[in-house]
Amino acid sequence: MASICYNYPSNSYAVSTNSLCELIIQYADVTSATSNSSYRKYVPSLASIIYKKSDWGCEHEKYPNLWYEDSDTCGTDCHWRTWGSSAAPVVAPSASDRLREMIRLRQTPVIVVRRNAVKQAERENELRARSTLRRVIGEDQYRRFMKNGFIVVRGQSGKTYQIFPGYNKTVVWENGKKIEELCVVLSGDFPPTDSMIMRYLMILNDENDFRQRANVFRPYTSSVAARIDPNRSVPLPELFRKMKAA
Amino acid sequence: MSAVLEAKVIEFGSLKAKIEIPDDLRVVGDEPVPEGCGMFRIMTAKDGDKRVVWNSTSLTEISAARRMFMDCVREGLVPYRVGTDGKATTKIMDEFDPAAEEVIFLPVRLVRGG
Repeated sequence: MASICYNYPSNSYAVSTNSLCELIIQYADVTSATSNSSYRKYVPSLASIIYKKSDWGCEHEKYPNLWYEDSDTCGTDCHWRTWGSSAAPVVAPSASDRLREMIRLRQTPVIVVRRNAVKQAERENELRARSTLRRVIGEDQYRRFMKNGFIVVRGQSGKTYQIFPGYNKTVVWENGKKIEELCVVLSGDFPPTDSMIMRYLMILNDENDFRQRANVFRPYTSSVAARIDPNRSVPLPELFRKMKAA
Repeated sequence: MSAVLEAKVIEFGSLKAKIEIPDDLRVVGDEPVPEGCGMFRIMTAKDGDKRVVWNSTSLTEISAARRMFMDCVREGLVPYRVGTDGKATTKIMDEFDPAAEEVIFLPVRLVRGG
């Protein structure tokens, strides 16, 4: 999480952003920001930053009244501190400036990443395990795995097993209903995909043996559904109206 | 001096099984299996899986592969055969088959309920 701080004589506001340039505006106390020596460098936004080096750090060419957190490097290597507890601030420059900034940000391409998609492997053993999985389950199912984050295998009993990588539970489906969750792990520092291969092979070859080794859990969704407060399904405006009337 | 493969096959402790890789067989990396060769994939935590290749037209290499296959089984690794179409078969290998394209050795003793 990186932070940018807009500083003004009497107040300022801060924008925190993650690697996907998702912006969250944070407000905090002005006095703590202006007194914090780490907020003293100038910058307009993450999307188009032009720096010039000065004696005291990084400064933006166009916006000398904007600054960002302290760092010992400049240019593209500028490091942003997490906003954290020292968060300060603040008040936006002006409505028109903020609107202009929002419009500008919306003109950038949007990167949509599926939440369940498998992340890029970083470790060598995980890469090798994935290539083995690809060989074992075939190209089509491997692509589905990369997209959805799980693989599916049907056991001899007719039950369908949804297998997730690592220490995640294996979900068992029968006639379209989730009937249980099985926890079976490969102890040791094996890559997550090796656990998937193990489960896939065991279910395919000896489903009963796999089930005997597993810790069986009732499906999580049913227990959650039982706990849901019926009031929570009431839309908030309606609740607000009731409260106002009371 | 033959190479030795160390693989954890018992859940508790740091004891590792030492499986000798015969000189006739080759340890390979990520490259595809050469034509006419079979491959052992031995699951290890360090490498993901260790890949050992034998030539299925060479009697020397077949016998070396058989020897290694027996060593792996003796240490508690369970051999699963991968079919010709890339799909895992529904049977565990009882004995070494030189015609097998790929064999995955799984440390089944390490499998437990979580």
